[in-house]
Amino acid sequence: MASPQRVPSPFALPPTRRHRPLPLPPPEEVKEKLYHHPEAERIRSGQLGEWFTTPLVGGEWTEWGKHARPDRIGMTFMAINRVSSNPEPTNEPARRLMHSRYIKTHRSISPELEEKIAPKYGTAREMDRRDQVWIEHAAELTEEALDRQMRPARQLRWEDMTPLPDDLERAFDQFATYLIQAMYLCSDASGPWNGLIHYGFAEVKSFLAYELFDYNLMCGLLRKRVMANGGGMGVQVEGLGAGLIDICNESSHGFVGEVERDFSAVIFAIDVLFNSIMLEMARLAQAGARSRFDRHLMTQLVQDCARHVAFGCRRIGFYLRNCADREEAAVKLHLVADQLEPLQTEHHMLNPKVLEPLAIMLGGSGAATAEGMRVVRKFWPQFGENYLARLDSIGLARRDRCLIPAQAPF
Amino acid sequence: MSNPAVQFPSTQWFEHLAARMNDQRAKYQNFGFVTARAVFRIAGTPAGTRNFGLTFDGFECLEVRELADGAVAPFDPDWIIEGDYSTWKEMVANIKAHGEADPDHTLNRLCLLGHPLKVHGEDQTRVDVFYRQLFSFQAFIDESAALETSFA
Repeated sequence: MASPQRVPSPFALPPTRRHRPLPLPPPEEVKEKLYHHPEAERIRSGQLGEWFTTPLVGGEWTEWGKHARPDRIGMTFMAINRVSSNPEPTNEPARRLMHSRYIKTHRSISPELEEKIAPKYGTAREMDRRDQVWIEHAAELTEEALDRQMRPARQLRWEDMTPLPDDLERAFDQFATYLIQAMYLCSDASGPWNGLIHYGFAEVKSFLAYELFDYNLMCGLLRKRVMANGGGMGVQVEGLGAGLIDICNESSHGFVGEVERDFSAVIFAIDVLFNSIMLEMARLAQAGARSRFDRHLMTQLVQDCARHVAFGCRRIGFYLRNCADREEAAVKLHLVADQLEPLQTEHHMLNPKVLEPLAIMLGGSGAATAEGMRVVRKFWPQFGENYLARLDSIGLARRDRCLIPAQAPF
Repeated sequence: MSNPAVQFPSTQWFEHLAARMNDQRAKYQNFGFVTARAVFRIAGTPAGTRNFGLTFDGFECLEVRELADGAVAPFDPDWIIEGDYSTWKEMVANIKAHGEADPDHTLNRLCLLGHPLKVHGEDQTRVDVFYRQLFSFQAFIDESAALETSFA
């Protein structure tokens, strides 16, 4: 068989390693050099470094004398922000890679040197503006994300799992298989962005990390549930990422090159639209879950998706209110929605491998699928209506151009 | 010895739920903190439509008060859950009978299609607080299983 013809790559990737390694110095030379290193000599002398000798006020030390007290919830971001000199990140250009809003830059490091220490692109300095990253009430939502994460060891009682008739078990397993695919998709698409967000936006970085944890924790739990109640994993759902993957790839430029990447498009696609759809699916599944255990899992999913949607709405709302050109930003987001809505309707919301298991669960048996589908049909308008109401709230009105059908097309 | 019956709907009935929530901090910590201003609206009671405004903060319900129709908007609720008296009665009786809502009487199930209960509000991103903190609100209403409820 002839080997396939190689097509030259359209991307010019920078080399990741030298063609020929530099010759290494002999080990004795390295050891000798390290022995006489000024820091090694200082440690041997017993002297402590500048971090300990600098004055606590007026020197290199950043803050002193703080006594954050737990609030009604505990020791939260809100509690420490109450005593911090920098409770919210500003648009002050943040230079060094490890430099957050909480830590001073050493006086001997000039802005030019900072630039060399931490290049902007490909590092956590890439997204360092409030309009690119920040949300209102970031601390509260991040604490909620942490506080409302499922604690499987405390909250789930696997011994309480109820055997289901085969048709209901099969329906739940297929629905769980869909959810697992959907959540891995979200996790993989949004994961790489966190490393590009500046440490000054600690709350947002934490939220996104918790969101990834939500997806992966739920995927693991669902798979355990499916494998533990007499059923097994269902069939693959094709096309779930329709439109979503393209938008994420276009927005990230493959994470290559010194270009402005469009985080807002990704947040809109994953958190606002995709999670809105999943939230409504989770509400339907919670209503259709026949066992207490399954209802518990679906309630958790409802909470998770609603929180991800809240993050997305706050992020897009903040972006539109604070970006340099609101009109242009809105046009771009509308184009993302134009692209996504019909593809997600076709491949996700109308996917029989998603809707039919839901209908069986809601109907209560395979024989009552038609009754379950009637519930889905009556529910359908909420997919578009709740999504549009959220967009109204964040200032991206698109009732006149939304491509999600207002009524079920079946 | 059973507790004396508390009439539904009444401020006293919701205060009993609040007291039970506030006495079980560990249980509600397990769900996560709540920050919400909620209105429970019961239409068609013998005394007409009645609104109860509840304020949740941290792991507690801090305030319960009955609101006249005109006082609901100034209360500034995140979400309003409303339905007919008969639906509420059926839900409360179901919770009492099963110790918690059965699959057909959870808040989410009853609100799913916008009837017999409906969750709504001025701002959908605030209505979503209902879904973000659903475990807590369901547990709160399930506290009624421990009450002797009488109906008007």
